[in-house]
Amino acid sequence: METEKEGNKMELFSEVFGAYYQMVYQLLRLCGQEGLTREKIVRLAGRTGFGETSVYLLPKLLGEDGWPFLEQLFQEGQPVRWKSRLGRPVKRPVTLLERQWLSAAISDPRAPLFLSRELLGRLEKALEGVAPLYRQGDFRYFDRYLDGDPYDSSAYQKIFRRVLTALEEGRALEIRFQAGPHGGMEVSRTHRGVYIPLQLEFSEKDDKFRVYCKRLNHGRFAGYAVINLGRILEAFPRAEVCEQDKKKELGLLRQWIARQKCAEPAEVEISPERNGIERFLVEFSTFEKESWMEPNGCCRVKIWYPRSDETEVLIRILGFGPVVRVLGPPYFLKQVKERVAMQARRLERTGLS
Amino acid sequence: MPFQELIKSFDRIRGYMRDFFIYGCKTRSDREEASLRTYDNERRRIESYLGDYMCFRLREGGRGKRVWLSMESAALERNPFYQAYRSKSFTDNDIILHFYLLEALSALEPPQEEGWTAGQLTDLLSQRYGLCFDVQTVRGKLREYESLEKGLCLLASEKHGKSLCYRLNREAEELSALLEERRGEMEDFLAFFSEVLPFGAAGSYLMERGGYSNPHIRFKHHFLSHTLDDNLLLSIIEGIASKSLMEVVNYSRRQRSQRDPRPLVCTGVPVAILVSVQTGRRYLVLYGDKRKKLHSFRLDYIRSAKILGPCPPEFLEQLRLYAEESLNAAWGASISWRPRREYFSMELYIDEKREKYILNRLMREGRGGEIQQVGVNRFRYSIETADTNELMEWVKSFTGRICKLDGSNRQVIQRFYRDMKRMEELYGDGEGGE
Repeated sequence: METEKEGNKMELFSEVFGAYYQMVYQLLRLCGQEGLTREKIVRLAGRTGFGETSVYLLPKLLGEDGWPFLEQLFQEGQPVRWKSRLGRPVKRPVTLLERQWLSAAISDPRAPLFLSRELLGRLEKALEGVAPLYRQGDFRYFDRYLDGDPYDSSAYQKIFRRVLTALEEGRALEIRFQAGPHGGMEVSRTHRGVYIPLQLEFSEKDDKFRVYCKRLNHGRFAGYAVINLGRILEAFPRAEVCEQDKKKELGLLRQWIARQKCAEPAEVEISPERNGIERFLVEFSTFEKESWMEPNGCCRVKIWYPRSDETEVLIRILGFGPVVRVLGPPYFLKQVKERVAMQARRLERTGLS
Repeated sequence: MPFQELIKSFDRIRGYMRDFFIYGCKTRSDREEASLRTYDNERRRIESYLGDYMCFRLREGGRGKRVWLSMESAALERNPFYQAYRSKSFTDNDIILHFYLLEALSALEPPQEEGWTAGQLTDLLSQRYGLCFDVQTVRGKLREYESLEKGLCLLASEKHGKSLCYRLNREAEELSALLEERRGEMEDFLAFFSEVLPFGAAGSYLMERGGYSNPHIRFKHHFLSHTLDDNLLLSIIEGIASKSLMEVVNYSRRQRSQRDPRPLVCTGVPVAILVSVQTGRRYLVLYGDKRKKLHSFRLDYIRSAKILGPCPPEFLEQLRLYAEESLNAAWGASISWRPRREYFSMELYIDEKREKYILNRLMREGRGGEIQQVGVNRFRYSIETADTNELMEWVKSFTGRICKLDGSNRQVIQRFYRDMKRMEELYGDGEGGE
């Protein structure tokens, strides 16, 4: 009985999922009965394994005392290729661990964003009797923002799926959306335009999706835009399609995202009091960073962040209080100083300083 | 022993990976509990697994060479740490039997409808492929692949007369066919959930198996190192589901900093996992059987967790009585001995016309606290919670707007004012204005 979980010693760490097994699956499939040259096998081992995999794996695959998976094909008495000794490629069955994880995943409220009701039903049936790996209630996300996207709203689901389809097909959408706050103020304006979705972004903290798009003006590229899915009011498919190769488009988008990064990293010094170093480094581990210890026991960190996240980075650093001291760059430090000075004056006024 | 790329136990690299990633500045001398050779081997291993994704920078510092690991979660297609889970070592017999048995069971007609016996498969391997194994070895592998243990369950068995016959697990095959048939839809689904759900490595195995990639989704505020604790978390989740008594071995920050080699051993019933999506910390909440109180342990500090057996019913009753209430009263992971409450309030300056977004921030981040307007451009946020100290990082993020704090934990509030004084000293030459 798969529902019986007592006494199970589930393991995420098993050789069955390992890189070497995966490479053998691939090799057997690619070699087949036609065979592959030694050079191609060496290239594949170098490309798909870990850094040093080919050193360990190739003698096992091609050596005399290795694993009996491949055999040589000869042409005019000369070995030319290596073919699979197995009759046909093998596919690993889906393990119980994967089925239990899948069973938990399809009960997530976000599952209908990606899967049709019909497919969800078929998956539920295929996973009947498989206990989910965990229950949603076992995990409590206590500091997730409360204004996350409305995953169970049918209007939201419909828009999400239209965006996802457009993304997969490289097709444009006509989107009408609620404008975001402008200069710190909420505005009631709506925008309408033609956009080609390129990439979704999900934030676990905000509990929101955003979509990176190419904006079109009379069919021509008019810059990139980032739209919150929760702010989209309508999305209709259009005839325009992405002209360039998808990979190239994503490469260009990545370049644009890289250009949105801060010109100089924020540099801070963290004192070891109140476990500041560990707390800070864990919290900022999602950013590109460089850190080193100073002889005085403090830790110096440089953080590279997107310019649009500057205020978020600033207030999170301020949250550490005097444990973290901002050193630069000057324009970032200036903002910190202004806030601290303003704070001092407020407390002075109330006689609490 | 020569260097090996693969390892037997995940615990071996769990700590190293986390330290390299989080601290980015661990030198050989920082890992005092390990020999220099161990340090060098683990570093080489991590380089081998993560070389494609990560940037190692070598720098001459005051205390020897340093290694930097740096990656920005929002720029990655998938969590690079999943690579580490693909490094389990195995024997020659393991891998040979894996492929030949799966081939035989999937490609060849069994001699009887019900499947193959271990003896028949042993003969087949010998006659068809010239592979000589003793029947015990083949039976051992078949049992391993059939049993629930380790969560594989690749095969199913059925007794026919005196023979135990093995075949591929049909339910798994049906699911496999469905995943293949609908791979277009499954790709984004798996790409998303393998990153955002607990135990995402399992989703990444499905992706790898199906040859899926993730061109469409990126993840912001994504704590990649959580996955390093997921193998251990499997036992804990098991304990939560079965309401079992568990033994948890914890090696806290205090013990680390004091270089105390003795970990804390605690027994109790696991209640829940608390996840902070802002600070990147995850905690196990455990109801201790000795002191009858709720403890929270950082998952990344736990060294091991094992199920001891069923929990006494009277113990469960006590647990039910106040666990929920205590958890609801907590702001974060600090859970009080009894569900005591502390009152806290802060008054903020918010320009009500131009700074509505600050009010939105209070509502969005305030975890159910009450917000009241108490004057022109002045708003009061108040809440009752288990531990005021936990709020203070959030409170200080409003630096520049705080007019007044109030609350029943005077000590914490006094410390806030002292902190603000220290901030003034740190940044004393500031120019600011309203």
